[in-house]
Amino acid sequence: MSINNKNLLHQLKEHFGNSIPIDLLPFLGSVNDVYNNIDVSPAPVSDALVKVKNKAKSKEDCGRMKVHHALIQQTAKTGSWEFNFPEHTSSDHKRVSDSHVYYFSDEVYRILGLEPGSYELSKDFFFPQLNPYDLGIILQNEPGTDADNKKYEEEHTVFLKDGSERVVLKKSDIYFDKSGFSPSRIIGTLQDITEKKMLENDLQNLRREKETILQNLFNAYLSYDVINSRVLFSNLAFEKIFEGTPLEGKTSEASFLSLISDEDKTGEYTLLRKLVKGITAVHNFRIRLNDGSFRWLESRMIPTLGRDGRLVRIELVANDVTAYKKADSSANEVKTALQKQLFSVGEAVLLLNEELIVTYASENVTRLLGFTPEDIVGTAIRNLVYPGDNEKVVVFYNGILAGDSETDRLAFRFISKAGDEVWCECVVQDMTDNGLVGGILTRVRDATFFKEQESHLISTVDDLKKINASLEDFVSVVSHDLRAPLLSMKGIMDLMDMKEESAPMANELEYLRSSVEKLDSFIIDLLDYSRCTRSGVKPESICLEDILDTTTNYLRFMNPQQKPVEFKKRVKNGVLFYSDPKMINIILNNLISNAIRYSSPSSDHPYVEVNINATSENARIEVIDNGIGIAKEDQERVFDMFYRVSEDSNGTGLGLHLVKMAVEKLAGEITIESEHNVGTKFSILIPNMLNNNQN
Amino acid sequence: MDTAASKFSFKKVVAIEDTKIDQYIIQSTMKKCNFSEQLIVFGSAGDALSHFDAVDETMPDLPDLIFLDIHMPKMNGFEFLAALNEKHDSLKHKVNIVLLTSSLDPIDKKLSSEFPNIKLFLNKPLNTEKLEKISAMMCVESN
Repeated sequence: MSINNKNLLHQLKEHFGNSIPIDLLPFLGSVNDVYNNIDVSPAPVSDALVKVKNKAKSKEDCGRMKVHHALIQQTAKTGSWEFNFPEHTSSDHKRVSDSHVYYFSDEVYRILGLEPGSYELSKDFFFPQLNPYDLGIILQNEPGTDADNKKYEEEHTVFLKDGSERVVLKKSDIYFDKSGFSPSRIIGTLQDITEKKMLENDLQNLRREKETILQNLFNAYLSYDVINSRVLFSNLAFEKIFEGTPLEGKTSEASFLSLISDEDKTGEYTLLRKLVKGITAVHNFRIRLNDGSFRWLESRMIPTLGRDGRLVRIELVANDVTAYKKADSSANEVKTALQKQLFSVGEAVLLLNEELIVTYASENVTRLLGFTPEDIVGTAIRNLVYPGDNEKVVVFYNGILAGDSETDRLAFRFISKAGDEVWCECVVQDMTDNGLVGGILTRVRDATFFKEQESHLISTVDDLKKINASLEDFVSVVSHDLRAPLLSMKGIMDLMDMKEESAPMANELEYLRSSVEKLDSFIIDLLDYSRCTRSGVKPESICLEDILDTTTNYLRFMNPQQKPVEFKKRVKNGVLFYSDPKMINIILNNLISNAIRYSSPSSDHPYVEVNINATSENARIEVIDNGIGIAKEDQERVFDMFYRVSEDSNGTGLGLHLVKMAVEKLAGEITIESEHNVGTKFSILIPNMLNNNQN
Repeated sequence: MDTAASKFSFKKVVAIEDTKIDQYIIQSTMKKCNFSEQLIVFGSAGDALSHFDAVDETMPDLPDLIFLDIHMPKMNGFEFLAALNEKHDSLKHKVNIVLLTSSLDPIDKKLSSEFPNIKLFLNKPLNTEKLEKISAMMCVESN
């Protein structure tokens, strides 16, 4: 800073006092220059004082103005300059002075990167610093003497000494002399527009970049002016996905929404509401293609609201998700099905604290137990468990808490809200130390099915065990019953062996015969039994009376040594009757032979009476005797296998069991009425299988 | 008659047997061997039980031996023994039992070991060798 004009300094001091603002100091030099150039004409002596006063006043005003101008120029980054042409003499038109007068404001220097006043002013002042490309243009536009060319404006680049570049805007006005033909001076401005230019360039680059990006997007992009219903921009992908530019030329307000196929218009209202409020909407919709098919789009719609809050623009970014949708819809079906499955087998989750009180229950506990989570939170687990399982549950949980439990799972019964027992399998994990869980995690799974299966299995196993045991019994009894007569016969033979040859052996022979008969009848019963067990029922047309007659004829000579038993029969027959003759035979044969075998020895007139009443529905068969009868306490068990009431050894213990089996095979019923020493009556009802047979 | 009486191994024997043919064999064989001076045969365990109900156990005419069949209707041999032992506690040690059966079932054999008064488990049929064996065994025991 140099202050070489004491006058100015003095005036500034006068104006500001002793504290000249520091901001002004840099300009003092240049102000000084300008100040010197102000033309001060000599004034008459008489007015000397006034003039001195006026001069002082105008000098003061002028200085102030200059400071203000400098400030304004600096702020506006605009300098001013002036170029005066030499004056012409009126006579020879020769210029009075050869030298042009130049003026550049300090700001011009600064814009050009120079110290104000440091550079000799000349016509070519700009040239050394001009961008070579701009030079030609400038020379061309050099203000000439053309009166029409009063104003001109040019923009060019200047190179500064430090190598940097600046863009400047030069504006100038040409003033002409009184003749109106020769230009007297040019006054212009020089504005530093570098920043503005850079911003403009940046903006343009950004626009270009944005456009490039948008054009190269695979996603469709559309910028839509809602106010004027027109497309501001759409990219290539948009045209490809939408098969053209569907909104072109449409003017209706709702035309933006016309992109969406009618099938998916249901969400339109919600969508619009969002957009109008300025909320970005993620919207999936279909568009109808030219060939009539649909295309699924996944879109994001970004609204822009104007200052008045109205929706002015919508930006749409969309991509084609048809293939994904197709895959997704089938995946979704699987997922839904799976979720259903999962939900049906889904585990409920309970959290317990260390006092075994429920602190959390998942929603699906309701499905399992009927209780809502609110119902059971705060309840001790033992109050939810079936009382019989209470102890084991508490022991189990305490084991888990103590960390010495062998297993982490236990099946036990809960009591549902409805009061039913619900078998559940629980997997338990102590997570009390886990900050996130903070309790005993219990995963509860419905085990009803498994328990049902289990109990079914257990009962099956029990049944099998029973069958196995009865088979063992069967074998044991059968082997005994088969062997006993043989051993008896052996005993008799031993006795006969010891007798002299001539000794009578009628007794022994008789015993041998009865033993053989017993063995034979037992084997026959066994065969019947096997037939009854294994073979199915084979109904055929039968005559019950014929079967009865055959049986009685065969049994007539069963026990020749005892008192003969009279046979009676009453038969109502004559309908077509279908049944299995083998089963009927087993029934009649065993019942009648029992009646003979257990006829009363004290009776004068032992008899067996068979009544048959056959209808198209069924047949009632009664076998009545006046034999020894069966005591009340034995009547329940007479049909059991190998149950023998009598001490008479001739029975096999199979006969009545066989009868019962045969009756059941024929889907019939049998009842017994008997009184000891009075007689017995067996009543049988078997269905006519005629209808079954026709089927 | 003294000489005749001395021929018998035992004074009184009871047989409980439901099958007529086996009763005959028992009677005939014992008779052949002079096995017992007196033989009482019961056709069922029930009959035998009611007989012992009537007998005063202090009386000297308790049988030396009871031949018992296992498989009998209504009440089998073991059921009879259980009932007998329950009713007549002292009989348990006084009367020796010989099981005479056609059973080959190991369960029957095992059950028989639970009754201390069962001295023998014999398979049918009864013959003279078996009776002689019993005589020898019982004499040794009584001596």
